[in-house]
Amino acid sequence: MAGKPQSFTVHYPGLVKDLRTAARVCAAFDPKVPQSAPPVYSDCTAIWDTGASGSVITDRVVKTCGLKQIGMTQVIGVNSITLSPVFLVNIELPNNTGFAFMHVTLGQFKGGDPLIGMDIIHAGDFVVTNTGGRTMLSFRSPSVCAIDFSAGRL
Amino acid sequence: MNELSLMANPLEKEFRYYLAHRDEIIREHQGEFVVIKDEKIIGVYPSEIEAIKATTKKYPLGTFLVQKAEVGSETQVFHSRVAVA
Repeated sequence: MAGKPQSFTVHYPGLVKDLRTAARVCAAFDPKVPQSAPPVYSDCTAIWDTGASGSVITDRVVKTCGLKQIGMTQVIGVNSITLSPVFLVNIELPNNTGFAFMHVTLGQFKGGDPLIGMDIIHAGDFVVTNTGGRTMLSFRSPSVCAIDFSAGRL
Repeated sequence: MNELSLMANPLEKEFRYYLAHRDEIIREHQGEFVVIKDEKIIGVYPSEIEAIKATTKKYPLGTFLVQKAEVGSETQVFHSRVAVA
């Protein structure tokens, strides 16, 4: 994604242990090119995970969107190394913040789908605050400037 | 390193080929996208999209592997919740 930054903010009602946002996933396509048929989307609740180098989808999204495998990857986890299929998708986040032609790995996890990893997080600025006992997540892409809490500017 | 467990997968043969020839492929095609099918490189392209567009004219998506010839491009790391089985 390039050009004017797109952003969104989620205010949670209290302190949260998981950072979740709305998301939609579909097979990769160029949004600038008219499509002969509308893409099949999977409406999801994404989980944001800074411990994941890449984004992950489950088999549910693969089946819903009819995704075709494009590659494989070695997945290095806490206790294992495994091979897993790779798919090419578009991921839409709130407020038209989207990413096209993203590599995602097939995995298993609970509580949401997809898992947003560092491949998307490092494509922008990602902030989590907890003022007043309420978690807030804000994200924009592409990155605009550094947000340094120790620099006295905030 | 822990044991490398492999799941049955349609493109496992192609990925194993890439892993076995990784150094040679990266040396010859650094930064490019190689298309592998049936343990053979059937194309090399400057971008992934070009690789897919060109190869799908002959083979259906899902029957060939597109891999960037770059150190580390074949690995993902998860420190947290993901399990792959």
